[in-house]
Amino acid sequence: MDEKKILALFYHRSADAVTEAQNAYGGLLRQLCGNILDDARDTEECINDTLLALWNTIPPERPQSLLAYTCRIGRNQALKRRRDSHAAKRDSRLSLPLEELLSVLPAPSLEEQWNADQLARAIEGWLDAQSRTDRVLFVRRFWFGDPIREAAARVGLSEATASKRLQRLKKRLRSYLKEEGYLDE
Amino acid sequence: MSDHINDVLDRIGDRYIQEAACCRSVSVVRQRTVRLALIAACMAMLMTVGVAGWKLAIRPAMGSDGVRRYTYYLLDDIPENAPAQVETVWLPDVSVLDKDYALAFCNEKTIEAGTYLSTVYWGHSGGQISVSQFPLAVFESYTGKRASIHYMPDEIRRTELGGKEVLCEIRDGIISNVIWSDGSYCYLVHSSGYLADGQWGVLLRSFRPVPDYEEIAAAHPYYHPDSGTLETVLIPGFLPEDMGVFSWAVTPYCAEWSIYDEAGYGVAFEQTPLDVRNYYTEDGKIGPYYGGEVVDWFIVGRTVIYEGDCSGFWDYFWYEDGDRCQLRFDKETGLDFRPLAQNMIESMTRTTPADAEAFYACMK
Repeated sequence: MDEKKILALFYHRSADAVTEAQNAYGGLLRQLCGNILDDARDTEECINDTLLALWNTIPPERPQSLLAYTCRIGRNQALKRRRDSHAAKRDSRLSLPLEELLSVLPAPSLEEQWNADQLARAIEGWLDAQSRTDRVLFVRRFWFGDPIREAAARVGLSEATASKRLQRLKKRLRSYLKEEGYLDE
Repeated sequence: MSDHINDVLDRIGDRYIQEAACCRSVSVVRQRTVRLALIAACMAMLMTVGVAGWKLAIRPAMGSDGVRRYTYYLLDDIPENAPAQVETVWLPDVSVLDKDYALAFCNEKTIEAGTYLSTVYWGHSGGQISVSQFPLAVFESYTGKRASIHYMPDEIRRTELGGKEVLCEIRDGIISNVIWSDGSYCYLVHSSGYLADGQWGVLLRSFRPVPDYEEIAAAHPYYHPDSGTLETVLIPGFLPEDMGVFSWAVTPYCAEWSIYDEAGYGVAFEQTPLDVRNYYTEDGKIGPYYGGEVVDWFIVGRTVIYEGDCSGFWDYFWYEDGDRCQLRFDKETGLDFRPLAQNMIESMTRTTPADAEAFYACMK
């Protein structure tokens, strides 16, 4: 079922909405949440939480993209769950991609909220200038938390090539953010 | 700090998430001769393939001309007298390009030994999926791992090359694959776009010869007898703007690289010389060449950066500032790959002398 029809089900408070959303996005959520969580049961619960959140928030929310909206909720649910359950230890699975960005993105300032928005827009501008392959590779790795091997497969690259491309992308992003004044020279 | 990064990433626009979420996986297609033999052994199978809303049946048949062809049907359109299916597999990620063509890849790495799925092209015509005679989509079993991988090229163009029809797959404005079918044989060739004398061409490579080539060729009707030859041909109709100029190949055994300069920044083209035990140039053998992973070339301004990664055996890095030059030899064997680099330089000199100078400077 396409996105508009699923959204219509939500708007009409049809019980089928959740089922259809699960059919449409269950696999994607499983992968996304599974990248963040290291427990299959946690992942399943996270998917259920996400579907419940969809039910609870639509309406009044009217997302432009149900897919992206679902992914955002799923990702945040998974991150929250992971924070709660892994507060005392590090998990290399998602912390690795994020740590990779530590050297690229500027540190938060007092105006963190404002900066986060500005920075996201800047990153979008930079993403727009990249090839589709690089864009997808970057987002899959750092937003979806895909292992490099899986991100590489998405864009038809070998793991080694993707790894090098990601390194170059980070370097380019850092240069771009310097040029835009987000990072000190 | 990671919370901050998460916060920033969470604000990235929907379109980027949609794009990445919808991008299907694609294999790095590698022709492995062993698997070709498997293909030959499996060709008599009828398969029914479930495809995200599509059901696809693939039926091989040997024609009177001795050529094996495959006919693809939408499951709903399978004739009543079609052979009973012998196997059902699920290809979760395959989708349809458009009403005319679909393309499927399978990442062989994710499939259990003894299974194989290569590349599938099919066209859709009058409710029946017609076949390109490409030998593909053959596997003995599907064991449940994620096996089907698919992506959508920007475009597939049909054109003619030497009187034969070819399908060119375009990704990011570059020809990335060419399927050549003339009814008697088909093969997948690697290709890359480049400009030569104002025309954009493709470098085509067929399967390379292997020790058991004769056996495979005998078993595989589609195995092209000229395997191993390297052809440079021009495909008319592709004249992208601002594409630049380098193409280099080592024949006849395996290696090829191409470079094309895009808006002055350079674009890498990767090739994967696989399983080649001896590497030859026109000057003769220069040493064992271990099948490696990636060879990238970059032209950045006046400077060439070359990265080679051959299963960790060797690396070259030439950085833009010219000072940070690193050349690593194989510590175990002591092999010196400088002749290889020299060969590359000489090749480059023919087309990009300025870059070659910088390249030389880095080596000293």
